[in-house]
Amino acid sequence: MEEILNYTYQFNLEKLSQAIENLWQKYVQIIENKDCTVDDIYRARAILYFLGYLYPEQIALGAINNRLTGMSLEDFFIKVDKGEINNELSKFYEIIKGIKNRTYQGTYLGEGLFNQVYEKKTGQKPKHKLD
Amino acid sequence: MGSRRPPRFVYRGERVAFSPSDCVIITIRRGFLIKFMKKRVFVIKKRMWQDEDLIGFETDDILVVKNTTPDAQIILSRTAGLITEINNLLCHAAIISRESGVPLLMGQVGITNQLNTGDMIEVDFDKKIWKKF
Repeated sequence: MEEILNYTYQFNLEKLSQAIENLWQKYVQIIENKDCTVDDIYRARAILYFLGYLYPEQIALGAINNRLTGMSLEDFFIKVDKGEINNELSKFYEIIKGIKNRTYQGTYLGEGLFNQVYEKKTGQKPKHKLD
Repeated sequence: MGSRRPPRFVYRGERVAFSPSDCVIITIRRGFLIKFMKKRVFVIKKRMWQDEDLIGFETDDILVVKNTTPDAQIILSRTAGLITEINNLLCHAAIISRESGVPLLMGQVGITNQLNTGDMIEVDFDKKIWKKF
């Protein structure tokens, strides 16, 4: 997570993509591991919250807003989706969309599988919603 | 799933006689169609929902949900409009709405408790208002 914030600040998109993939793989390894510990599953919860909500919807949104000049956020997103803008900021937006459109075993970021493992390991349902 | 009923499109400013139900007024704003419509709603009250929660959904219903996720992409192509409780320009519903042109009204906190499947609503996606009738 620290790497993701670091590369977002530097706006190094190549390293940022790699850092996101690394964190994602760490998360998948935890929820796929039948022998994972309760500590592991809480770590997976943190990653899920970070990748699924906090990073794309708060941090990345702010990062785009801070670098955007001459148009509103909404106009920027619309223009990118229509293919009218192609720059570093639009590539960053595409990376974020990659996270938001990611499914694993049929649910967004594998949340269904995560919930199953969480319940099994902790004996309770996740207390707080992802969004 | 019901059969798609072709909407009646009426351009803003055009003088036409139409029944109050099932009309669609189109305006062009920022390159997308922004619509006012009167439609039946299909409400999902759960946060995490799946295909089995869509039994009874009719093509051209307005889908009312807390949020959407990528696994809901197919149904979003068959909905007349989308209303969500969540409100964020980078949430999945906002992304898919921009990409597909599905009219979206976000940030309607509590709407999944206020409406039930089958209710009829008027919604102005441009002015971001809705009411039950």
